[in-house]
Amino acid sequence: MELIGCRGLTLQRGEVLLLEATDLSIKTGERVLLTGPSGCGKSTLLRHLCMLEPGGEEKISVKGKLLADWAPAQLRRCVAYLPQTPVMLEGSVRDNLCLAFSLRVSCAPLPGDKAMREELESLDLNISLDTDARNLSPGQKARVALLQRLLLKPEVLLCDEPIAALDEQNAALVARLLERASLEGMAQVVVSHQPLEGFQGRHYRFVSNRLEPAA
Amino acid sequence: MNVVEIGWGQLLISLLFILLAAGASLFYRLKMERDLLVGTIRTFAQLALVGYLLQFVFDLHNPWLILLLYLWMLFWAAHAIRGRVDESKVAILGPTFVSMAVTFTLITLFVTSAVVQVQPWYTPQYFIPLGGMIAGNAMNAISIALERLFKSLREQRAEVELILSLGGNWQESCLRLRRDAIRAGMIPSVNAMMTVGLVSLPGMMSGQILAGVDPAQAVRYQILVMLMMVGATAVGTLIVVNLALKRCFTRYQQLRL
Repeated sequence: MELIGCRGLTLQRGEVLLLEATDLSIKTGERVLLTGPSGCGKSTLLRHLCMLEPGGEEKISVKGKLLADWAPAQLRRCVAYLPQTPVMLEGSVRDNLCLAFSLRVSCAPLPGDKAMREELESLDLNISLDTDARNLSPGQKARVALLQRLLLKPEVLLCDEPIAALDEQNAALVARLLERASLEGMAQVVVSHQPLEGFQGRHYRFVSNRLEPAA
Repeated sequence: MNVVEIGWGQLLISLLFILLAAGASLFYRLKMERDLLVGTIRTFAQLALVGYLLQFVFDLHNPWLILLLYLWMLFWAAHAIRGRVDESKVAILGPTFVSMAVTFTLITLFVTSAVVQVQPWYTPQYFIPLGGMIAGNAMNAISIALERLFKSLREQRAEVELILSLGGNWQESCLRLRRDAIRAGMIPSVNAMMTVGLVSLPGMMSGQILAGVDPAQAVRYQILVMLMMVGATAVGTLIVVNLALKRCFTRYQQLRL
């Protein structure tokens, strides 16, 4: 049963065609890796899948329902998106981790300090919850941002270069965390130019405006 | 006290000021002689025309015509705002004009009927200048606010989209941005209240005094004008910023810019 997919989705940047009409279908718990030269439209594709980029709402469906028929907030709770550059809002790490829970769409209780601390430690982040999030290093921000999404338990996670800013050790940590989430049933679409440790799944390459399965 | 009248002949003497500026321009090669000439001619022509028009308007006793004239003035204010903000992706002329038309007409109506209590409320000698001051002041405030809004939406796109991608709606995604834009629009008129009388004598008050009005009376009018402008600026900026902001997002909660 398909969780997220597109039928005949095309991508354009201004007048330039990035991707010819493309079909893609991803099942629950499945992992897909996207690679290709920079500027080829990988990030744009991810942004379309979570409906951040205008257009294509009639070509993409999640759980059998077109994006156009979803309430945007509900959809984005189901399909989380992690941009290439992690963004921290003004405030502490706690504020940033709780951000999504303070939005109107949220009905889940705020995560407790203890739970958040454990999650941070599992990512090898030995920082206090009161640390100013904007003073974190790029590598720390990347992990806090990932955690921010994982706490919401989305069914699909769209990751744009999740390990590009990390050193080898932290990259391995993030890769393991992603793998664990996938084993728990989270589908993932990952854009990465580096190989992801332990990645099991399909691999597509952007080649001359087409999405081709890579060997 | 009698008002000393100025005739056209006396005005010709004041052209000496222009000659002074033109002399400076020639001496220092500022190349502003042409602009000075055009500007002088335009000042004479435009103001003469307006004087003539006002004479005509002041003889009007039809409230609809006066409202129509005020709407015409507001349309040009909205037009000037669009020109200054220069935003191609979001249409702002319509919402700006409509919200200015509704709020400023109501505010001016309130000032003439409830505060000044002139009979009838649409007496053009009161309605048009009071409404005009509101429009002129709010025009600056709204342009500043909208410029700030679009600038920070572009600069802080990542923050806005972060909240959208976590399931926030467009209002939640730009709470801070909106607050900053509205503040930016309101600051000049609030600051004006701080310095009025200390740094400058407002033009309207000076005008009334020159026209022979008792200064205490002129001061009371000026206080009314200051308060009225702060209120109108706040309401106008607030509404226009909200309407413009809504247009920056699609119905799927996507940032359009």
